[in-house]
Amino acid sequence: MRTKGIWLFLSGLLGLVLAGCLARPEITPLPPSPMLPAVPTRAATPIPSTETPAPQADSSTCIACHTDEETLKALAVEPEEAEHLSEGEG
Amino acid sequence: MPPVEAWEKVFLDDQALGRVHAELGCIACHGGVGGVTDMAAAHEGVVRDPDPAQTCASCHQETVQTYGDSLHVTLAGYYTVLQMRSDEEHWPQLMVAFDNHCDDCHASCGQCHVSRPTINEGGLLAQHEFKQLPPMNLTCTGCHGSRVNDEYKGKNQTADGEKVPADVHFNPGGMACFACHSGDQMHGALGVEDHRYDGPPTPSCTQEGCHEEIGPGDGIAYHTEEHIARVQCQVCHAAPYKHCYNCHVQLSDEGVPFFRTEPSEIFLRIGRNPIQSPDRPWEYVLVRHVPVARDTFAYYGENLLANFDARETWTYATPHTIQRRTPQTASCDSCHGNAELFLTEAFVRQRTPDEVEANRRVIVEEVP
Repeated sequence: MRTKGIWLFLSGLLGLVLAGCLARPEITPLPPSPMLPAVPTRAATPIPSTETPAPQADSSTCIACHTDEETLKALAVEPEEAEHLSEGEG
Repeated sequence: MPPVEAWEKVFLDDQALGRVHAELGCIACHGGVGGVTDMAAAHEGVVRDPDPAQTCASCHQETVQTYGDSLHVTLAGYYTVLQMRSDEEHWPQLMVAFDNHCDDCHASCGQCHVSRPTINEGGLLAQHEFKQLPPMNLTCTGCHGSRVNDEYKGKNQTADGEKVPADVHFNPGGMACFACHSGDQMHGALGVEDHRYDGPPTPSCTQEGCHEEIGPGDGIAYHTEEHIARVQCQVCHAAPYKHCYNCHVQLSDEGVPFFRTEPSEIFLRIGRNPIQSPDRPWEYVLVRHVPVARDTFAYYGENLLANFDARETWTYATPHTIQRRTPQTASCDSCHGNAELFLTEAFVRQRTPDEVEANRRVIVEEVP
């Protein structure tokens, strides 16, 4: 019984030594910067059921207009030139 | 990016949609009213950039499931650094500035795969063709222009007028952004990240299919165990890259947000690794000055970056200026003992005297 105990103890010790040898070299990180509590960021919209959206209406008038270059040129309104006040690279 | 006229931004080719998307029709994703020819009536309720969860997810559920975790959607990188530099007292004021100046930098499914990003004033990429691989010049570098684009394509020159070559992955490699930056990375499938250097490098130079053979014993004299373990690959293999200073934001009298930055500079500096971890174990890394200053948000209130010194302004960097041979690889003395290459305290005091304390963690106290 006593011999068995010694063997168990030695086996445990050997295990600890081997674990120590196999451990990755320790990296001492630079001290972390202080962080405030997490602030909730933009949440993704929950995904509803996975059914394919059914065509809700006839899109032929949308297509007819948006594939007609002349019509679009006639109807499109160029946005007002935005102020370009920024200086330097963004 | 080439300008696009207003009509051309919405000019589509119904054949370009592809069979599956065309079957859905316009209204299923964009709303609006069918069967009418009056423009205003037809556009009632139209959504220009449909919510992916309500539209794309019906077929691309797996992608949309994680897309909300993408840094392009969460903007977590911004929040992380602002949290570190500010405090609870000033946070509400800071968020007003954030909403005015930063919050528009988003991408959605459509803003990469169908149109130019909204921040670049939109416009269909190819007459509403759904691009599985977004065209990098109209999407990726449309936003990541002043640093990534110019570095990657070799558009920079140093103060001495020396042209900085294009990244070898671009020329002669001919690799587009997505050759290294995977769909999984773009779609948030790699997990929730606090910033773009959170977790293991993506991409990693030595990942499978890239330079996986690189390491001690590969036949390259400088690839010693110590160099590989202590020095980030880019330290030796990057050419000079861009540093920006002193970004200040404010509103015009008409309420239009704008910014001002000082002229950028092109050079290379080696600092200590501020985010050292088992994933990024190197002691020495390249550092880049990012466009922030103690009073960047002064227009919105006093001292909004109350903890400015809590985070370095010369930050961990992975420039897109990779070369096999650089001045650093010429000889041992190119780096060893060469203070000109390192982020020393003297250099920080000379360039950004107000930021010495903020950069204690990255300053190289003794040039190796």
